[in-house]
This record gives sequence, structure tokens and C-alpha cells, in this order.
Amino acid sequence: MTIIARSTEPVLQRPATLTEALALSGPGSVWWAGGTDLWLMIDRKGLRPEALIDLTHIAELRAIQTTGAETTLGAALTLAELEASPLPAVADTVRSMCTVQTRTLATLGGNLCHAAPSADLAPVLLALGAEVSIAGPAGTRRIPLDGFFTGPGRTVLSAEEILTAVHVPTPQRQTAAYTRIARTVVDIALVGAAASLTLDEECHVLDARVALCAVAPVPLLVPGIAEALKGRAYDGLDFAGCAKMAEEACAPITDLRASADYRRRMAGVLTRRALTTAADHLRRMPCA
Amino acid sequence: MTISFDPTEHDHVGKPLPVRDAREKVSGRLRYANDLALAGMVHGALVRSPHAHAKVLRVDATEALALPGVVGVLTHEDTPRTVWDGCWFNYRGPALDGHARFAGDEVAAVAATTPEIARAAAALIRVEYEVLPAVLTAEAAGATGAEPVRDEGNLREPYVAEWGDLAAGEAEADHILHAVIDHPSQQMATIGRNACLADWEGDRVTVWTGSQTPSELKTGLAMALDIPQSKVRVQALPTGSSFGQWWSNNFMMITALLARKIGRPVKIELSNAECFATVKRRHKELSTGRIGVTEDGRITFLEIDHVMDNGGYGFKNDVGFFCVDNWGRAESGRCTVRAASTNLVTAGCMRGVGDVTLGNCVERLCDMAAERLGLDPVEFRLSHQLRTGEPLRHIMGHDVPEVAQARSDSKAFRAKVPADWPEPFVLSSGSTAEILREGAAAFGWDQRFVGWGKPNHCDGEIRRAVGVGTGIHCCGVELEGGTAATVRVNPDGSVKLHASVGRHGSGAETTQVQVAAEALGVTWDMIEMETGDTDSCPWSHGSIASNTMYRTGFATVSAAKDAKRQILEVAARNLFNCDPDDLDIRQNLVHRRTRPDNERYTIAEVLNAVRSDALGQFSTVIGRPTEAMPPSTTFARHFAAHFVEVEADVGTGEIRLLDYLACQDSGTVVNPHVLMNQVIGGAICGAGFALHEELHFHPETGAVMNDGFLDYKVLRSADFPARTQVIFGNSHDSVGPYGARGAGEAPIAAPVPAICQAVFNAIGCWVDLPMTPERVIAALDRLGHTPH
Ligand SMILES: Cc1cc2nc3c(=O)[nH]c(=O)nc-3n(C[C@H](O)[C@H](O)[C@H](O)COP(=O)(O)OP(=O)(O)OC[C@H]3O[C@@H](n4cnc5c(N)ncnc54)[C@H](O)[C@@H]3O)c2cc1C
Repeated sequence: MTIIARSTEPVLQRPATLTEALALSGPGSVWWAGGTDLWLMIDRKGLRPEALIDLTHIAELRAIQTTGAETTLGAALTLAELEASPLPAVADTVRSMCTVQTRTLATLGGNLCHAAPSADLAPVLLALGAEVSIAGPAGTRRIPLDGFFTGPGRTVLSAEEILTAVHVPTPQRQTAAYTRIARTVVDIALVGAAASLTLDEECHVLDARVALCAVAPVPLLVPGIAEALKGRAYDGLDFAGCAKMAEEACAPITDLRASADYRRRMAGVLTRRALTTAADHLRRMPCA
Repeated sequence: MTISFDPTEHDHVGKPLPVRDAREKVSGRLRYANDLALAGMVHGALVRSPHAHAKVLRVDATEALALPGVVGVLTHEDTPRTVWDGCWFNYRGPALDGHARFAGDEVAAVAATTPEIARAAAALIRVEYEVLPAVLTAEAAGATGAEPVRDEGNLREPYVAEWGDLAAGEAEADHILHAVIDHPSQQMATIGRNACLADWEGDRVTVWTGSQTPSELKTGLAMALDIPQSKVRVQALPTGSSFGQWWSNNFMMITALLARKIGRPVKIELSNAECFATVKRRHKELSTGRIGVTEDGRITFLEIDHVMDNGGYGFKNDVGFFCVDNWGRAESGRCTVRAASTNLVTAGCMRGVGDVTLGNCVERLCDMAAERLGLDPVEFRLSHQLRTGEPLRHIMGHDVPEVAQARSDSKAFRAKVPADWPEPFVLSSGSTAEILREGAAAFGWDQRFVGWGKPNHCDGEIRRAVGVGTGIHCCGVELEGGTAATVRVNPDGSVKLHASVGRHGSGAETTQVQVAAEALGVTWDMIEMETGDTDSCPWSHGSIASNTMYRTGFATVSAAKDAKRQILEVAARNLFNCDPDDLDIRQNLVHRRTRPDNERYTIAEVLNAVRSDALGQFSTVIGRPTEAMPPSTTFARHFAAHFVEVEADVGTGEIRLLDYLACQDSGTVVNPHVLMNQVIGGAICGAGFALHEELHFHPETGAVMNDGFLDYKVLRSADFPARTQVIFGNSHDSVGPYGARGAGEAPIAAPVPAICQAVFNAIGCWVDLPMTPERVIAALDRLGHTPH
């Protein structure tokens, strides 16, 4: 409960372009998006930045673009803005998050870069096979989201790098769903699971993914799901095997919110439910 | 039931008048203690023990005092050894005595020019401790050779209430059922953080802080500072929510001591974590009980053994278990409460104390009995719960000689109280009967309850079922003195009501003004109320124990009547030349009863008629209570009956509340908006305790681990059914003001048993509290099969 006196307030900078933002970065500076996680780091966890570089006034970080093959979401889009995103599973997910006030401030990039094991957008984007674009002093790179998280609160980003966008492939005949357990309406996930199912033209499973949050140090993709379901007719799939694989893939901890045993078991239950919901959505899709 | 109260007869009572400070609250202009500052003020921070139990050997403040901006340090060596008491022993101890009794207990304080410097200085104070063995549970506190948490020892004298012949009851029972319920500790979880500001002028101190018990705080400060009460002025400010948290708290004593030591005004503002972990909480309570029933549905005995922990500074030996009154038709019974001191943060009266926990155990036992006999839970309650005129079992202070004597000789007692008061030691008015019947009809209970342990709807892993629970609480407790109020009528006819009830969001300042306006005959906009200044308000319990309407309201009405009598005497003598009894006041006008429209004077005209001299000194009328206070636990209770439908997910263990109906019998409804707010607020808080709320204590240090809203989950309105309905009963009390009784605590007692029962009906087994998803799954595992 001890707090050391703050000598100076951090300065707030508000670049209008990515180039300006990267040029402002220096020792003691941090990227500021919605501030909903960062402010708590400053107020409660003793983080003492010298400069806050606000990314939310950079137009290219706030755009949604759809091409035939993918949708690109700017990293500084707020959760409230994502409620109207063209990706129904992402829109559903953000509606289950935070409070109205927090959703109005909090951003997609902040949710991923804060890298909380419980971040709700991570599993749904992993299940959708998303990739991320990163800009830094050395240029830009694009990498799969799977591999972005390296530990609780840690990612592959260096301090000078910015997450600029999330790219979500949008194949035909794909559906996805996210489901979570939380204690009350406003809470972080005790366990979360997202699933996606993609069919081929014969209505057989072409691809499938399950991703989990809050059951391991990082949000994770469950290995082997696509192999288990591939080629099967989507109607009447049995997801018990996938649930088992999810239980085996996770490495949960026990804390005040839930025990490791409960989390592991729920990883299975929620995997089954997310897959079932995704399959239900497929049923409502005209199959080629 | 006949309608005994006709709101059309009244100008103010029964009206949904707006809450007086609503506009300031919603516009952010209401001033809390945190908002105040004085010229020359410095900021205090507290040094807290990291150990559950330790003696302070040495405090070295050298480094802290060297920090620029630091003004001074207070330790136990500067502190009077006097012990201060909180109301009903919610606290008992010296402000600082070099003995840390829980992790987070205050051991020193430091003042500096900014809050940041003060906190940095607090971290620089080196305290050397002798660590003592920690007593972290009530059970450990009672073990032989247990380390004493306090000089008085760890165990309080057990508190026992008994009636009937228990042995005969046991012998007669066809079925005996047992229950053990471990009630975790609930935190008041107040949204606001409190602050305290103290300022000395010579040897007199003024203290500004959020408190629902301004008078008690004044008494406590006088004890802690070792000065006469006349030298202490408390200016109690709104607390935000309180639920029992902000009565008199030790950090307030320390603020005043620190200000005295350094000779400057000092403000100490608590952090959210300090509010959660260092002030107060509901006791951890373990209830063990047995019930006996006959095949034909009689309850032959009820026996409860209830163990509670007081934490470091609580000193109570009972919780208010009026639940045994509610099930008082049980033919015999014994209820024993045992209290123990532990090295956990202080526990005390949180809203609904006892009736939320012990009451839940009584309801559980009765539900188990009804289930065994296959009886409907509403019907079982209707046949066994107390009715007006039936004996009360739990008389607070029944072991106090005066009370014991009054009980054994009720004629002598009657001779002392007004002739029109009801019989003592029997329920004066109301019961659960009417609200249970009306509630069951409105809820559609007969259609929705399909049998014990049976859901009314199954879909995949979803089970839905309904439950009912009842709650009761007192309407104030008389043991600490007579609550009073004064009504001052100014020369211009405006009125100031003074009663130190504090402002903790219950709406008391609105309803007190309503009954005062009614009694005096003035419009309510003519009255302002002072709720927190102990220099102008006479002593009062404050807003605790659901006493504000029944007891403070009684004093307010009595004082208003006294003021009215004085005004009418002046008017009769100087203006009407008649008997004062022939006059009345309504709508601010004094007139003859017989010809109200003929000759009328404003109150200002009446008072100006006694201008005492040529300089224009007008008179002020001061009304004060002239009637004796009702001994409330001897007569009055208030009641709740709640109906709920839940949805249980047997895959994840999640419980959702689908539909809620809260019925309340508080006697006359003085203001339906205010009462509705009390009822729904209680229901949400009780539901939170049933489903999520639980303080986690560190296994070694006893420190509160979930000291914030991230991991202490309270329900928000979005967690509660939007269609929640409220129904008011229609009883009328012959003692309470305009027939009103108490209100605020029965509504938090009823939700817990109602939700437990609904969950039982949904999944077929009882679940430990709080019924988190994980505990629901554990209960289903014990059941061994997916229900239904
Ligand atoms: C009341 C409340 C409820 C919440 N509920 C939920 C919930 O239900 N589910 C959930 O997942 N989270 C929840 N959160 C957490 C939080 O709101 C989200 O994680 C949010 O998305 C963070 O976004 P932000 O823009 O506010 O991030 P910030 O706080 O601005 O930043 C977070 C971190 O990411 C870095 N950062 C931000 N943007 C970038 C970028 N483009 N490139 C590089 N680094 C960047 C920052 O430097 C910082 O380290 C809740 C928070 C609160 C206060």
C-alpha cells in the first residue's frame, strides 16, 4: 500500500501520424491508447512513465478496411467501435466486455498489447486466424497473432514498436463464436473459449480452430482441432474429443477467481459450447 | 386486512416526495469529506502493521522526519491509553497502543504538506516488531493456550435466547434435521472512500467525516482524546454508501490525535484498498442447527449454535438474530451465539447483522423440514411465522436487570409506558403473513413452484426454479439511550429540524422532514434538516439498526408537536383569544379548527406578535421531544418476503437471477420511493452475498487479499433482473410515527434463503456460500449425477 511520491507528471503527446509517433518514442515513453489498463499500471502498480504518446489521433490506426480476402482492423479502434465491426464474432465478443464507459475508451490494440492472459479479444482473433502488423524504427512486419504473446503482460513488441493493425481472413462459409465464464456482468473472464469452423463446398469441415484465454500464461490455440474435424460433415459433429484436447492443452493456475481444476474442466465445457454455437451459425448459412 | 392508513388524510406522509439531495448527488455537487480542505491543512498517512499479531518494540521516524514536507509523526507513545467504544461494541480499543491486532492495523501516522509526501514518509518509518502467534479463526481463538488477541481474553460470554421445553420438543419430533452453514465475511464494499479532517482551536476539536452515527462518533472521540464531550464537535458529512462501515472508525480518532500533536488541521483520506481491508466487515459466522418436526408439520424445537469472529477490535457478544422471533411459533428453542476475537480486520454490524446469516440458517432448517414433509415453502412459512400479538423471543438485553424485571412483571412495565402502547414483549404490528400471501399470488408461486428439488423448466444444461425466503429485523434498539430531535421554528416561519441521523443514502433526511412537516402542519419546503452537526443536534443513535423512522421519527414527531403546541399557545393568547386546543396549523397557516377559512395567520405573523422589544427581536420556538421513547425491541419488527426465479447452468455452475419480487412490511409507507430504494438495494446486496461476495484472508497474515472491486465482486444493477417488483404490506403500528416501523435490514436478509432455496430446487442440492460457479459444480459432483 505504499506509494512513492511522484516527482513529475508525465507529459502527454498526441501525434497525428505513425511516423511522428515513432519519432517521439524514447526512453521512459509509453504508448497510450484508451488508458484503461495503463492508468491502473500508473495508479496501482507503480509504473512511472515520463511521456505518454497517445495513439488514438492517428487516422490509419482507426480505420476498418475490407478486401475480398480479409478485414483489417486499426489497432486504435475502440471496443465500442468494434461493436459495429463487420466480423460478427468480434462484435459479439466486445459486447460481453467491460462497461459502456470502458468500451468507449478501451482499444483493440490495448487489449492485445497489455497481454493479460484473460484478454477476451485474443481467443476470438486467434480462432479467426488473425495476423498483426507492427511498425517500428526498423520498418514494418506482419506476423501471425499466434506467437505474438510471450507471457503475462509480455509480447514480441519492443518498447519502440507499435501494433498498427489486426488482419482477419474472411473465407467463405466460416463462422466463429466466443463464450466465457465471468462472475458478474462486469468482470474479466475466469475462462474463455473461441471456436471457428470453415466448410468446403461440400459442407465438410475444411478448417477449425479453438483458442482459450485465462487458462495459461498466454492466450493459446488448442493444437490438433483442425486435424480432428477436417473432412467431417458439419452436421452432427461430436465435440467431446475437442473438449478433451482443450483440457489437455491448458495450464491453468489457481487464484482467488477460480481453481486450476475448475478452469481446466471449463476449458472443455466452453470449447464444446463455442464449437456448437459456431456449428449452429453455419446451419443458418446457405451452404454451397 | 383492512386499510388502516389513509394517505389522503395526510399532506406529506405516504407521498413519493423527491429525495432531498438527489439533484446535488446526480450533478456531482454533493460534498463529501474527501472534498473538504481548510487553510493551513496538512495530509496524514497511516503506518500499518504487516503482521497479523505483533507488539511494537520501537518506532524510528528519523528518516521520515527528514523528508522535506513532513510536519510530524504520531505513535502510540503520544496517545492516551484510554479505550474508546463504538456503538454496541462494534469497536473497543485504544486508538494506538503499540499492539497490532491484524495485518493492516494502524501503528503510527505521519503528517506532511501533500498526500504523496505523507505516504512516502509513512513508508520510511521503521517499525521494529515482536511478532506474536496469530489467531486467525474463531476456533483457534477458543483453543486452550491460544494467544490472547486482547487483554480481556478471546472469548465473550455466550448470548443465549431460549423458550419452551427443548427436551420435550426433541422427544416429540418425528424428524430431526441438521444443517451447518459457513457464512463467509461480507465487505460493505462502499463505493465512496471516506476521509477525516480534524481541526483544533485551543483544546476544542472539530471533526468532519462521513458518518451515519455522528453522536456516537462524538462520544468515541471524547474517549479517545480523553476530553469532555463538550469540547468535541462532529460535522458528519454524507458517506456515500455505508451499510455499517462508517460509524466511528479508528482512523478518525488518529486524525484528531495527529492534528492535536502537530497543531495544524489534518486530513486523512483512505484509499480504496484501505476501505476494503482495514476498517470493518461483516463477521465470519458459522451456524450449526437442528430442527424437529412432527409428521403433521409442527415444529417441536429449533436449536442453533452460532459462532462469530469479532476480528481485532469488535467486542460484540451477539448478532441481532430476530429471525428466531420470525419462526417463534416453533414450540421450543434455544439460540446460542458465541463470539471470539481474532487477528483479522475488525468485524461489526453490517446491514442486517445476524438476520442475514443466522437467519439464513433458521430458514434453511425450516426449508429442510418442509422438504422432508413435502410441504410447500410458502405454506410452511404461513403456518409457522410470527403474527401480531404473539410473543417475541429475542429481546435485546434480556439479561440487563431492568429488561429482565420488565419481562417477569409486565404489569409494572405497563405502568411506566403510555396507556395506549401495545402489550410489551409481543409483536405490536405486522408480520410476513400478508406479504407472503400477496407476494405468492403476484409471483404466480403456485404455478412456478413444482415441488422441492424440481426445476420448472429444463433445456439442455439449463435448469430453472423458484425460491422464497423471509427476513426480519428490529426497528432500533433502545439500550444505549433515548434518541432525540429538535425542531426550531424561525421568526419567518421556516423550520430547521435537527437530528443526528447522518446521511448514508437511506433517504432519512427526506422522510424525517415528511413526518415533521405532517406533525407541524407546514409544507415540506419550509423545513430544512441538519443531520450531522453534533453542536446543534441532540444525541441520537444515528441511522443504525433500522431505527431511523421508528425511533428518530418518533422523536422528530414529538418535537414537532411540541413546537406546534408552543406556536398555538402564542397564537391563542395574542391573536385568537381562545383555547390553544381550538387551533390547528395546516399548510403553514394557523386557524381555528372549527372555521379554518375564517381567520388565518402565518406562523411568522404569530411569532411576530410576540416581538419582545422595539428593536425587532423576533422569537424562535424550540420544540423538543416530550414523550418517552418506545423500547423498540420490546414491540416492533419489520418484515420481508422475497420471491426469486433462478437459472442454473449445470455445465458451468453459473447461477443467473431471472425474476425477482420483493415484498416488505414496514407499517405505514412514509415515502414509497425511499422505501422502494431500501428494498431493492437490500435485495441486490443480499443476492451478492448469496452468489459472490466473500473476503479472502491470507492464510498466514490474515490480510485481506481481495481488497478492491476487481476481485471482490458486488452485483451491479445489470446483474439483477430488470423487472424486479416491489409490494408493500399494509400494517399500521400504534407506536411508530403515523404507523411506520423500520425498513432497511429485513430486505437484505430475505434474498439469501430465497436464492439458496431456488438453487436447491433447480439442481437438487444445497450449495455452500457464496454459490459461485465453482461451488455449484462441486455440489453437483457430490450429488454424483446430473440432476433431472
Ligand atoms: C472496468 C474495466 C473492465 C474491464 N473489462 C475487461 C473485459 O471484460 N475483458 C478484457 O479483456 N479486458 C477488460 N478490461 C481491460 C481493458 O479495458 C482492456 O484490456 C482494453 O482493451 C485495453 O485497451 P486500452 O486502449 O485502454 O489500453 P491502454 O491502457 O491504453 O494500453 C494498454 C497497454 O498496451 C499498450 N498499447 C496500447 N496500444 C498499443 C499499440 N497500438 N501498440 C503498442 N502498444 C500499445 C500500452 O502501452 C499499455 O502498455 C477492463 C478494464 C476495466 C477498467
